[in-house]
Amino acid sequence: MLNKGQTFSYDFFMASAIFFILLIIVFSYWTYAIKETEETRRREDAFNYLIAASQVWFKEGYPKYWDNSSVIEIGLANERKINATKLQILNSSIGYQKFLSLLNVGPYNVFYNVTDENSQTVFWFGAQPSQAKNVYQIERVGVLNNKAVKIKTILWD
Amino acid sequence: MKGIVFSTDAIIAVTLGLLLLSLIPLTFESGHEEASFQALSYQANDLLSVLETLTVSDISQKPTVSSLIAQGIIKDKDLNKTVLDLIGTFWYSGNESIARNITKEVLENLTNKCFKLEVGNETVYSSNCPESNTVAVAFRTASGYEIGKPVAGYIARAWATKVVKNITQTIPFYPEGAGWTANQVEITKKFSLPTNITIYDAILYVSVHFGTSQSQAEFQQLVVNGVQKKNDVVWLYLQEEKSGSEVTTAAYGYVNVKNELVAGNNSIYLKFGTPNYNAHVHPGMRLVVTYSLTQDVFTANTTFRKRYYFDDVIGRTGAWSMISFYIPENAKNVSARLKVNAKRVDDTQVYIGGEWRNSTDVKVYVNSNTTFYADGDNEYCYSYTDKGYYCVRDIAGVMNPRLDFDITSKLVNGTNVVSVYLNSYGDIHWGYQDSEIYSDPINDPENSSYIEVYYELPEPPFYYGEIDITKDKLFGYLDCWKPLWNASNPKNCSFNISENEKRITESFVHIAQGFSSMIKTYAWFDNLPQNLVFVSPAIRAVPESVYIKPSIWNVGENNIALVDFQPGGSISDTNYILPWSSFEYTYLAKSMVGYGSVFNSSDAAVNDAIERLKQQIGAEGINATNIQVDSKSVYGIEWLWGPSLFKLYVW
Repeated sequence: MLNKGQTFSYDFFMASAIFFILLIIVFSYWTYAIKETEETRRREDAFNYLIAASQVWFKEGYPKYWDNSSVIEIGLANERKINATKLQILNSSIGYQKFLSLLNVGPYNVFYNVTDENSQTVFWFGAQPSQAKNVYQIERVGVLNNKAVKIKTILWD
Repeated sequence: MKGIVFSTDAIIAVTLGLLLLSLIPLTFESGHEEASFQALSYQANDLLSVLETLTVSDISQKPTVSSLIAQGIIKDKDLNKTVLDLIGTFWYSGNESIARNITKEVLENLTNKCFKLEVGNETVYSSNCPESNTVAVAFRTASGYEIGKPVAGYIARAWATKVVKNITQTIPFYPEGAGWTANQVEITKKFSLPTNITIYDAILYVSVHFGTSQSQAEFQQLVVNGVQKKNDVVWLYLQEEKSGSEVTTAAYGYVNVKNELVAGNNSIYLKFGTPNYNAHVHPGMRLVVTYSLTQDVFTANTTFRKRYYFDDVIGRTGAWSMISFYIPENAKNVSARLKVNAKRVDDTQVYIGGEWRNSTDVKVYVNSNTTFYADGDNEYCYSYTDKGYYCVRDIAGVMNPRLDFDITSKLVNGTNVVSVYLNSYGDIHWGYQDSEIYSDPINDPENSSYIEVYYELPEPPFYYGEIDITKDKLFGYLDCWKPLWNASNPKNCSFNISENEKRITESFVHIAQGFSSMIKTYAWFDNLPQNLVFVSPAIRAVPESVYIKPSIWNVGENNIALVDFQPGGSISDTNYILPWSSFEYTYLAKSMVGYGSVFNSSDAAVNDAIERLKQQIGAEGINATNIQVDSKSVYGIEWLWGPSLFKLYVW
């Protein structure tokens, strides 16, 4: 009888220990997974915003040739090239805040830097990253003033 | 022992749990890779768009392009080409290094990624980078310039407005005759050939049933435009039929009448008889003339009004003729009139039942073995004499009936046969006059006997730029089952229609026979089911030609079968189809050529177009006497070497 009770106590102790260890591991993983999921969703959202922000250089917007008063959807290209006039309007009339509202990139700020083939800046617009928590960027290639240009789009918060 | 087992279970459970948990981070990684791939994909598309958007002038400062401009290889007119076109131009003209350098110079400073441009399955340019598992690719299809072809210059097309072509025209003699007990039948055919022709060949095939008795009238005259040709006939086939002392012959032969025929109006006169039977023309008598004709190129009509004139037939006694004509398979609004001008017809009567009754002396059949028209109300005979061939009646007088019928309701699309009998039917004759089916289409067309057919086609048989060519092939030259040049029944022949001849607009089989009864004609392509295109509606209704609808024919092996059969349906034992039967068909050839290669001068382009036209129509025996050309300068012709698929890889 004595031997039997000892055996039972030992088994119970071991099983409990394993159970709690497993519980701790599962909980840790669960917490990690939730965080990662949130982070992933946030990054996916950010990437989608980033793509949307970069696409403005390749679409015409609405109306096709908008100005400060008529613009409904922002788009900086016409006939497959970046329209320099639209860049002027963007800088002089639209302004960053209105641009952000038209762009609809959630909580993020956006910054564009357009450089030529020699990486010399030919145009920039937006808010430069400052004490940024997260920064996302994509580099696209377009045609401005009959020259190929590199367009860096930076999204940050 | 129990404790150990329990611990092992727990360890396995823990291990599985940990493995499961370890999978969780992997899902996060895959999301990141997808984003990277999307970014690469945008880059690939952007770079290809740049090549599509930038023009040569936009990259004129690039070393390679600048050098090519300086050398004059790239000219001003090339400056508006896109860079993608330029790369394709050099790549497909064998200048791969130039294409490679342009690609490199344009793209290498626009991305810090590795990239590769392919066209087709060949690499134009590739960065010197290691391979990667994540590669994005963008596609564009584009057309470029053919190797060695100039992209600007002159092109020309040409078409003939007037041509000289060789034509084979068949002028039929319809089965017709009469001529009783050695009295002759006289047949006169008057016809016109075009006036602006040169006759190369003219063969008159003679197919008659005449007597061979020493004491009786036989083949007496064959006069072509006043020249006696009866002794020039080469008899190819003679089939005798004896009945006691009566000997008659179905004879088939030919005579060359090229020297006698003239452009314009012609006349052929035929006179022959039999000892104790009726002399007549058998199927297959026809004149085949080959001549060259100068004609303007035009679009054919869609409405047709054609007259088929009877031959003038004078029979002693009785006269008959069986004329045939055709209506195309797709003809609409078809109508036809029959006019018969008969002369010296004995008006017979019989006294039966205590009264005089008007007997039939004129009979007309239209596609049927029952009469379309009969002038009397009976066909009684008091008795028969002369071996049963002569019907004894009373003769009331002589008449000259002129008949005018609308036969539209009896027409069929295809071959139509109309038979006119004066004082006769089959082998039975009555009356004593030299009755005549009058016809003189040259001098007296309105008083002649004829059938006038009207029909409409949904579209012209040929359009401007198309020339109709007619050929006639004797069965003896075709692939027939029986040995060549043999008479046989049935006769099955095969022949090929070439690619050049595939647009057939009309086709006929001209049936040549000695003795004949009724005929069935089949036509079919390859191994497809046979089409019964004609069957005689009555005995002796074997037409001179049978129309075969062109839709039956196709490029390759085609077949015709002719069967002579008895009214009961059995195949005739002694009625043969002769190898001088023929297949006549008309097909269309193009008399225009489109724009061709690009030349540096208008003259060179025009000369090329004319030469192409001459070669094309020359193959069909056509010469162009008037040619019009249209030359124009062109620029930026995309001589398709593709379209080719451009692929830009980025990794």
